[in-house]
Amino acid sequence: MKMKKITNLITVAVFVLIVSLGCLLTAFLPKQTLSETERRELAAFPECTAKTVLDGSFFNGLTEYVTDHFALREAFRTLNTVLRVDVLGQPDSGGVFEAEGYLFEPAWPMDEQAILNNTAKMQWITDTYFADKPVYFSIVPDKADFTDEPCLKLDTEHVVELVSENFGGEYIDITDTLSLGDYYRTDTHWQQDKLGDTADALVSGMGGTLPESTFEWITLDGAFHGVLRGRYAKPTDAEDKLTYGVNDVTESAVVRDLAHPGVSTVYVPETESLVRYDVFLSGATPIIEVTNTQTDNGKHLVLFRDSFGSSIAPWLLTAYEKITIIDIRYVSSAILGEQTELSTADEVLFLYSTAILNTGGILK
Amino acid sequence: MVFSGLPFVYFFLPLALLLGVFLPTKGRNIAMLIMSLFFYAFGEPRYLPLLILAAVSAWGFGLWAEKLRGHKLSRLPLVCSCVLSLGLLAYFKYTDFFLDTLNRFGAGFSLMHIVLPIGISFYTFQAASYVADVTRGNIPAERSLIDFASYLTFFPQLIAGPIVRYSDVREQVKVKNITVDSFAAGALRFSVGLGKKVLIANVLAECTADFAAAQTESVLFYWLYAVCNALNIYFDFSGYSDMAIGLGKMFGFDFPENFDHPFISRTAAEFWRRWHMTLGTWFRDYVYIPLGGSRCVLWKQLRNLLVVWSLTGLWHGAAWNYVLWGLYFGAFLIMERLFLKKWLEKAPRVVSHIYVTVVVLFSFLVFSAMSPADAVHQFGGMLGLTGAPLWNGEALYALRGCGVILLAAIIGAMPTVRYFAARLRKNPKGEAFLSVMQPVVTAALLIASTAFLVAGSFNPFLYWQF
Repeated sequence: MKMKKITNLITVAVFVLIVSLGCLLTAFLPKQTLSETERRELAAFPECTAKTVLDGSFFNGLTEYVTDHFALREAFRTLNTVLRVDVLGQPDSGGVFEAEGYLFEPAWPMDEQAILNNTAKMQWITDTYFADKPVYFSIVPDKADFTDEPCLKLDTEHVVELVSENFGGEYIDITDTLSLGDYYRTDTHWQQDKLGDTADALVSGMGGTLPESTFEWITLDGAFHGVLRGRYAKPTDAEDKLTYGVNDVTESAVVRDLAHPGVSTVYVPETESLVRYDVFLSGATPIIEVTNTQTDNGKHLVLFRDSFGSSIAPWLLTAYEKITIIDIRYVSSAILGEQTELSTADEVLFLYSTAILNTGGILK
Repeated sequence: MVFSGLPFVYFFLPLALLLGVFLPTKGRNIAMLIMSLFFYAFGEPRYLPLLILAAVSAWGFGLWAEKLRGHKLSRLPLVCSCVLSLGLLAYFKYTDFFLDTLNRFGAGFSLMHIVLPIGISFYTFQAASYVADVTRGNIPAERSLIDFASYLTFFPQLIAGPIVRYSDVREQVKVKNITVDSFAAGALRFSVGLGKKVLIANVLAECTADFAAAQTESVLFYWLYAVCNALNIYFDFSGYSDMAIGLGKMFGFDFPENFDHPFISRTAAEFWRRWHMTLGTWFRDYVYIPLGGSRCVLWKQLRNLLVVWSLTGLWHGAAWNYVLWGLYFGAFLIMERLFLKKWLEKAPRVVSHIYVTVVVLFSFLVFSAMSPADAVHQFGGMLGLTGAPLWNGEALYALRGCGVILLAAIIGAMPTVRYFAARLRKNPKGEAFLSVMQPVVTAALLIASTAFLVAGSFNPFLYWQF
């Protein structure tokens, strides 16, 4: 009986302690505004007005705020992944899994309608701006395509089929130029210094020749922790270095970022962005015009791209006098003609990853 | 607000406990009323007046019913109460269902798109049963509006039950009795419920979501979905009931049990004596028995069963698949009453368990399906009638994702823990082991569930819109 009493006292003490500590630490510990590991802004304290209280948005916001600022949040996120992967034996945590020393987050399931809509957008751009120009497209496979680890991922061949059947551009296959080692271990993206064959395949596919270029490879100090590492939350040995290549072409290039007039270089190694991959062409931006001052071949490439295009663009630049790099996730395709000169394009390339093509409404 | 959310566990609950434990009874009831109204407003502020109306009207009808007891109009307050309570329920829950059904016959009404007030199915039933009990003279009417409203709106049972009758807790409303033992039992029960909801039900729900998103079908995936779906609903709802019962104990209330390992049943009737027990007894006491129950001629017994099970289905949701779900169980109960029960009693135990398992798995396919045809297709898929392969990559991946938790869920759905705990209690070492495990399990479940919630894991709640 005495033992039962002590057990119950300890149970009460443990319960009250955990709940009280969670409450007090969350309430009084200093708050962060950004989650560096997840690369996102944390929820702000919601606005409390009669309207937000009555429509419930204040309470929803409060729930998000508490979740985002809960005490020891990173430790709890790690515990979540450890429990899921090591105790429950789940193959992934929140869609991210580790295999062969790499982290993966393949897109799944396939949204055929999204792919068709995005393809229709590409066709509309072609019909509107480049009716008489040679137009090409290529698809960046997810790095999960190169692992034997069983996982749920898009069927890249089917994505290619869908786009090919509904888009008039000529397909350039870059799959054979890539392998798992060409991607970062902790990020979804590919590594610029491994893209020589891929750039060659793209330029050759458009009827050109990629000049022999000698890049000097510069590695940024410190480890590059990609977005997947933060999302996975579990300690892992997978680590990367971020390397970018400079040569006369990139050093002397004239860069005009229409959204960020301050950007004037191909690389921005001192970027303060949480996303270190933004070192390439300053990351997410709608339109950049890059002029190669080392050639006068007069060739102009218009590259429609997602973030994968940022790191391969310097390679392509060596074969063109001008590249206009457009990300229609951030600018409406309906006003492109007013924003930049498109009529001088010699070739047009749509380069998108399967994950972007599979996302509905992302291309404007 | 839901129990399985961080704002509830780490902010609302500590404050409510502070007030509930340390204030004297009267102060506690006022504080609990205010806290409960805030709890409700957190999820659905615009429907707060509706909840207050339900509480005040039931309290008033209760006093009126007591005043008219023995009078020829003694049932008038009950009729008025039912018209109001069930009228609110009918309007908010079934208007669009009714209009939509008429539209299928070409009526052409515009749907009103009424948002269902959280917990309305529970608190209207509690209000109606209170007035019925007073009318019958089972309990005296509650004089204090504060005490009655603090019962009807009491947050642990407000939005998803158990359906607690006033007669169950009347004395506990009047006299606070919180002990270390009751608090400890409540803390353990709450943590177990939270773990069942967050660590098991939510993980199983991820598997069912994967099934819905799958590109290809296979027999294995159909079975996996059926099992995960049934266990998900069980752990989701029984976890919530455990949390409610645990909270009740921490505040000095003994709520009725709502689940008793329904999957060990040998007949559909037994399943329903173990599943959502407070709803079953509510329909038994306030619908089935007043209709004549089983003390009447056979055709009336069958009619009574069909009425009760149609209503049970409709209570769960305003859609025809819920009605079908209720009638489906009603049909098995009728068959059991007519002949099946005798057969099952003579058959080996394994046969009756397989019978209940198949009946229940299919019933939850109907419950969760977009349409009855969808449920039939899924059942066909389980039997390999859709031409799907036996297994495929997606099914194997899903099995990897939920295999361990599925096994834990199957073991947890049986009275395994209760059995081993009883065995251990028979010797001092076992008793000592259980004593050590009690706070350890409480802490471990609380911390692990918090980790899943902080990570923003999948956290839907199935039953609170009923």
